[in-house]
Amino acid sequence: MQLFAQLFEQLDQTTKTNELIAALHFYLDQVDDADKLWTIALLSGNRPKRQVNSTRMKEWVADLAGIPLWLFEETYQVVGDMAETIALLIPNNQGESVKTLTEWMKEIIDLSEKDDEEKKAFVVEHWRSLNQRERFVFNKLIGGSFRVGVSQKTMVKALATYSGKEENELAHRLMGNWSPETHTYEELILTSEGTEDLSRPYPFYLAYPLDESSDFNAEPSQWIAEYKWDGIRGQLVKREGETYIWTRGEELVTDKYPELVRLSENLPNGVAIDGEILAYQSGRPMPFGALQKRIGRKKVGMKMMEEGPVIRLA
Amino acid sequence: MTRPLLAFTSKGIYCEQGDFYIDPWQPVNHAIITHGHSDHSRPGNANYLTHRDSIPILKYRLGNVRISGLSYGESVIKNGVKVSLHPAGHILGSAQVRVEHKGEVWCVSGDYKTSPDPVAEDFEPVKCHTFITECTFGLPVFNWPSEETIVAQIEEWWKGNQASGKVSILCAYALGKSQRILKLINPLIGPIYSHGAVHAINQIHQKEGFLSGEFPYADPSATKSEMTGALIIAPPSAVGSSWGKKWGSLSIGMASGWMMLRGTRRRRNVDRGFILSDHADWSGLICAIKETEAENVICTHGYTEAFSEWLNHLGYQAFSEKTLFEGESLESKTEEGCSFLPNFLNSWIKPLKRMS
Repeated sequence: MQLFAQLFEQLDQTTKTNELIAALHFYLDQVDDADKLWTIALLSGNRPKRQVNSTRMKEWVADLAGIPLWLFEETYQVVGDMAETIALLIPNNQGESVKTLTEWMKEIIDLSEKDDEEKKAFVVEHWRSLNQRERFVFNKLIGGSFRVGVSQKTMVKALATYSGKEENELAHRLMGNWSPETHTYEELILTSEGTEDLSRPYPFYLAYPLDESSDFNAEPSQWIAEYKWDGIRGQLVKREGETYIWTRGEELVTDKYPELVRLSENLPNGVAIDGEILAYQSGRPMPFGALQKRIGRKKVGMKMMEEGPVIRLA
Repeated sequence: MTRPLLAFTSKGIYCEQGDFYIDPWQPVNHAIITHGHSDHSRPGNANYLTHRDSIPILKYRLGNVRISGLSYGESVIKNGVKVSLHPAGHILGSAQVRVEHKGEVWCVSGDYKTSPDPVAEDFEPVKCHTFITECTFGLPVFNWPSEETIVAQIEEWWKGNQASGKVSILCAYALGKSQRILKLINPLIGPIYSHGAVHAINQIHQKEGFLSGEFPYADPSATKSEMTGALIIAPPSAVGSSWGKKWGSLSIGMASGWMMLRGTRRRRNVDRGFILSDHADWSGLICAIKETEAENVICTHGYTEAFSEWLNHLGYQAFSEKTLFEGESLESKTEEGCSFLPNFLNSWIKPLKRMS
């Protein structure tokens, strides 16, 4: 994990795209394919389920640092990041991990089989033995958000120059359902035939801030304004007679919108439609709340479809 | 208890018996000043008393004011109250103020740090009944790495910038931290320049023999070829303006205790943060308080609520008082102290809600 922790620190220390890319290249050159894939997954926000309860972690660290819980909470409020608060509260030592990122992830995933005491023993032992930088990354791996200052776009760019693949193609490969537990780096990044996932959506085209103020100098007539509908962004893909609906967060939500699946029966294979999913009745959009009722459901019954029918606006 | 020896009033910390204030924030007749930072030494007082090494700093900042000096350990009697100054380890001339009356001893820390400093005299604990302490970094996450570690990081960063043809700009307080860095950094790595604000304070230090070496004024109109590979020490306010833009590609570093936190580091949007503070860290504060053998502790600035509650937990009689001291801010302190208000409200001194 030394290398991964070092990468994390480097990515954290700069906001310049070329330096971020250089750090990623330097890292990719040194680790094996399994670690490469885990890194891609983690930086894409594709991470395994949290295995350790954060309330328990707070209790353990307060205990270890010899402070009451209220002082932990006060401190956490100031630091603003749980993984960091924990890393800073435990006295520093020089321990370094010899395990690879993949080995770490396996141990962390295996925690799901363990009881609370075993989890505590695992976590506390590593808090004690790792140095501050690795302890912080270890906490990040265990759970919570894994936000690091590198965007998906930049990561894909780095991966493209590293692997010699096209950026667009890579962005597409990284979409949809995959995990380092089910795929290899070879399959996901390098080979294209056979293993291609039929459901895989296309990368969403996202709004991004303009860098140069000169971009704003264009004539108003040169601009296109677009409605911002109050629904959820969704991508419908039809391949080999099957329809898939993806959210912007790359969640497969086909079952929640049966009326859209039915509508796509007449679409030819190979079609993808990106647009907004809206609850819609009598020729107008309904409030977001109507759609929200359906978002959390596993199965959507007739009644729901009558109360909050949805359409797509592309 | 009868009237306390030192009281918190609208003008500052006041000793009624001796009729003087310590670091007052409104003009008074007699002001005892712990050190030369602008939130502790404000203009407008009729008489100033401070450590003798602080005199040139105060004169530079406040003009020709009536000012007298003491050495560390030397005392004066004011209406039966014995006043003496003791090293606070914060910056050149920084002092704790010991106040004694009829066997009762109070001590006002001002700002202090317990780790060594190449310019400031080492902090010296003062035995007292009541200790009025700062607690800028009074939370258990603040534990400073060693000075050598940080200096090595700064030097490595500087060399790295040289290798990629960049100018290194290191942000640090003009008074105190800048000179500390100049004393510590290896001058053989490359040319070192000072921003105007730093340069002026350097000259005071040099004149009194506390700093040697050449750290010329960094001329904003200097060309890229003149400045590439140089290190420039500048106050935080200098960065972000057009200053330095002519020198080509810059790497901006910041030296502050706040750089301990990833969030502050990222929000400041500097290229590198170096954890270097002129304030005591968590264990420094706890240690210093223990060594005073005080029973009562009053926390004046920093995380006063949480810190005084922790001190209560440790068995002290502790509480907090509101003051206008700022601790370590990420902005420059107002170099011309014409404002009686803090130059910005630190979100971290906002009283935090009790959790339990």
